[in-house]
Amino acid sequence: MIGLAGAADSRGSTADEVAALAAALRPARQRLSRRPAGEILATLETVVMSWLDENSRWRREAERELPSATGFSPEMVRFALPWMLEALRPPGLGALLDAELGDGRVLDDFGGRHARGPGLILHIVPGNLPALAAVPVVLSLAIKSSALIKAGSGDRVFPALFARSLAEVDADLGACIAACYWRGGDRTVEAAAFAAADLVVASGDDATLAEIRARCSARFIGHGHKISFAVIDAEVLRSSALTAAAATGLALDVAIWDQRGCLSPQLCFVEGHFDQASSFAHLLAGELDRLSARLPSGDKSVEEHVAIRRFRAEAEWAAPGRQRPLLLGSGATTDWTVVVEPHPVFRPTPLGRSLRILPLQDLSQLPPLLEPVRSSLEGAGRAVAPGREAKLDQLLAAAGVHHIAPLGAMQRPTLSWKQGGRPRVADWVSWSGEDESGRR
Amino acid sequence: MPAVHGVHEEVLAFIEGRHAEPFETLALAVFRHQFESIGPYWQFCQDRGSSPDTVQAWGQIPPVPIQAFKQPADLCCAIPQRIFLSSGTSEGPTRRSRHCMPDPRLYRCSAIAGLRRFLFPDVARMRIISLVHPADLLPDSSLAQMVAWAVEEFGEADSTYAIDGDGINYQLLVDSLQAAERTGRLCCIFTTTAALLRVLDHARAHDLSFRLPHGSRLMDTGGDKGAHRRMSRNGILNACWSTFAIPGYFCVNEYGMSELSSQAYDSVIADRVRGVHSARRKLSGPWMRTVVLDPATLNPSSPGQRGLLCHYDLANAGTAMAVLTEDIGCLVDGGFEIVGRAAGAEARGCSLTLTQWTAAAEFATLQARGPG
Repeated sequence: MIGLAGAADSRGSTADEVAALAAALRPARQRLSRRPAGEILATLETVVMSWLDENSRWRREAERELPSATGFSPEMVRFALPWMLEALRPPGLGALLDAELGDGRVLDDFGGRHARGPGLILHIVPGNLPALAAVPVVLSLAIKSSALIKAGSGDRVFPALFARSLAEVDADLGACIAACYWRGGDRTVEAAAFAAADLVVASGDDATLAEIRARCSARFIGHGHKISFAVIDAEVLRSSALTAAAATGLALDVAIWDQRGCLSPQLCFVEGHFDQASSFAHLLAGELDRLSARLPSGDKSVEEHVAIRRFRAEAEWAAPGRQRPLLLGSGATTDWTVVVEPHPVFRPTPLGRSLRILPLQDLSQLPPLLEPVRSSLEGAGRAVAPGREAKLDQLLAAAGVHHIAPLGAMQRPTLSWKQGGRPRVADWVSWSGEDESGRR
Repeated sequence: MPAVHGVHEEVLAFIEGRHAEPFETLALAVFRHQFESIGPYWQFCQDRGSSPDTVQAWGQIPPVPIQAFKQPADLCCAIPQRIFLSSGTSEGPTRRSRHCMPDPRLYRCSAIAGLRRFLFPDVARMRIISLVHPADLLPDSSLAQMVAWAVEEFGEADSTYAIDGDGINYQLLVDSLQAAERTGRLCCIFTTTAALLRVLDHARAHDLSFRLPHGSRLMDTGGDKGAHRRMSRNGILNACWSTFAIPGYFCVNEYGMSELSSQAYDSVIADRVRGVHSARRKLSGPWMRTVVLDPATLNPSSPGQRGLLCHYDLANAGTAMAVLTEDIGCLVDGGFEIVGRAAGAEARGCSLTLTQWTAAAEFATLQARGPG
């Protein structure tokens, strides 16, 4: 098993430590390349299933450590941690490999065709949510690549813990994973890490990604910051049962991880006029209030509180004479905020369970509202009449949305979610084999 | 003379020390006045279940967030006589605050009384050298107005503005400082922190330093706003000593905002004059009280805890007395300390943040507008 320098302690890894980790990861991968992909897959699934068992040692350790390490409430960690791993549950991983590579067996040289993962992938994982490292680690090993995980400052516990759980089940797999941490932008350490990697996969804002790309000689794949939203149609609002279900689902989508995920909705378009949107907002407010007791908010910085208070003040002190926004919030605390805005404009919120509700006369008005933000869109949750789903999905996909889910399931994507519109492993592997068109 | 509520007269008397009513009595009277005469504030209080019947102590008066000054719904108890705008440089031109004053006498009275207490408690007048623009060049600026009043009230006849529409007039500044050195006459420099940093850089680049007569002083304000670089408070104090021979105990940083009619000042001169030995902190006259609120609940923070500064400024009797800022600070020794300003940075996420979004949108607007 590889040392996990700097992963959990307060000091970051040094350039020498990162170089040493990388140097050990590379030869470890040789043992992996000799093993059948199917066997690796089965082992990975064993590890995933043990994490999904709420009584497993790893799960309990994560639930114990993550609240203080990440600032999320213990209730939230207990509730939402499995959501970060469940996409890897069988048959998700095998299905992904088959879907993206044609047949997962090409990882073993199959029918003269061979897909090879890079020798070493450096994953720069964001720290906004815990356990975001699980998917990249598993996918890297599934394609027989070693992976160096650079943990985000918000979660330095999970990557190391996950690597240890792998090593315990399968020493060969464990030897191909190492977790470390350094302060993002530390040029000396990053130079060492970039030099060692064959592929760098990073998440960050556009400026950070451009900056890394410029310094990175390895192949680079960047995932920029994105924004998600929800859509509810008039048909749903006509049924009190469907409206209530939509409010319950949307409240959950907003509350999970305190809205820090890129699939967390920040706006909800409601087909109807302002009063109908307001009625829905009241229902939603009730749900958010219940959730703030069941899944309490995590820690917020002074700046985060101020951003939410500013969001509220802007709604409360909007221009007189025009129709005023409706502001609903958790009293004097900043636990949750809902603002119904009379004029639909696509603008984000300060997060921390803050949502803008925008009434729309007709869902056909959506495309021009989404057009200016096309490149920033990621997910959409929807509650619409069954007959309208296909048409709406088509509209959303055309507008640049990469993930569409029913309300309540926005934050539970399967591996088929093409984050940023890109495949997951197909972008990582390189191919070799006989050129079929060249056969004589 | 506009018709104004009698409570303004009471506040003026209180600030000038002609009125011995306790702060609380006046604050509750001002609250009633604002509740009754400012529609948007009445609505704000209604939404919180607060009224003159329920509010029993000044600390219960609902404070308006500074965003209330950024909206067109002017907080004003009568027709505005003067409108001051914030510089907007810290948040972009589209987010300027408007302070509509129905009774600018309150502002003048408070500004003069504050300066007398904290900048000129020991002298009646001295030569003022201002690096703040003359008020006729910046008619929207409450700071420029305050400096103009300071020149009237505390300045010698040869007080001067070493800045004009083209920027700092270094020659005039150097001549004025050298004249003070030569004649031994006291002078007071009024400056924004940004202009001060430029002057300090200029002095270093040209190897200039001055031995101003002891008792000369400097008031800077505005922090990083518009500054070409940053310097710590200690760095500024050291530089003021080495460049002007003004010791730290004559360097006063003023805390003011266009949304308030009163200011807070570094305690150093007032402490020295009163023979008090205490650490540098911000003090204001007894007509403004400052509390620190927990940003999570808006309840008062525990003593020494950081939180959001909230001011109860009687001189804002015509607008909004209780103002919740985004400045982070803590209470110390009868005054307060400013730790920083909450930039309104949103939660860490992989989501695009509102700040990035607004910056991008404003950039796009500026691009569309083109140069100039």
